[in-house]
Amino acid sequence: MPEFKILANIITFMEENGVTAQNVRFHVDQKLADEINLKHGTQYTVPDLEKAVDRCIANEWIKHSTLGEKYKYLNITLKGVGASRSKVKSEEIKISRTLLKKVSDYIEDHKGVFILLGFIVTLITLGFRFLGEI
Amino acid sequence: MKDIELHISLKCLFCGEELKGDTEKKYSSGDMIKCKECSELNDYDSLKNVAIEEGKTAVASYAKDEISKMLKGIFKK
Repeated sequence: MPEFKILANIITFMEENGVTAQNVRFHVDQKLADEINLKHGTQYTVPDLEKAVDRCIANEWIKHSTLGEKYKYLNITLKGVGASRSKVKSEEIKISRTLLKKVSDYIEDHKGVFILLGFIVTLITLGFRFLGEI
Repeated sequence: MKDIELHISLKCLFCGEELKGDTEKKYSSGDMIKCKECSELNDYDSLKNVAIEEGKTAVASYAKDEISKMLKGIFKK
C-alpha cells in the first residue's frame, strides 16, 4: 500500500535530518514518486500517490499545513507517525515469528473455517452412524 | 477555575475505534495492542503520544473557554 510507504518516507526524512513532524512539509510530485519507487522497487505514479494521500488525509494521518493546492504543503500528523511505526513493528513481528506461532496465528485468523470444517465432520459422522443403524 | 477530570480513551490508529481489551492487563512501552475491529496491531507508545496530544488540546480548549468566561464577567462589572 503506498500510504505506508509515503508515511515511512517522511519519518525516514525526519530521522535523517533531526526534525519533528511539525517542521516537515512535503508535496506529492514526480520527485516523491521517484524517491519511493527507487527505495521500494515499485512503479507508483503521481496519481497513485495522490489517491494514497487522499486516504491518509481521510484517516487523519496527513493534514494540510496551509490553504492552497490539495497535494502541496502537507504535514504528517502524530497519528500518522503512530500508524506508520505500528505497521513497521507489526511487519517485523510477523517476520520474526516461529513456525509454531505462524501455525497458531493461521488457526486464529481462520477459526471460522475450522469451525465450519468441524461442523461438516460432525455432520458426516452423525450421518454415517444414522445410516449404519438403518 | 474548577479542577476537571478528563477521560481520554485510546483509539485505534488505523480505524479510529476505541481500543477495548483486558482491563487487568498492564501495558508498557514496546507493547502492541490489537484492535478488535480491524485486527491491526497498534504500538502502545504511539497510542500514548496521540492520547497525550488529545489531552493537551482538550485542556487548552477548556482553559480558553474558562478565561474567556472570566474576562466577560470582569468587563460586565
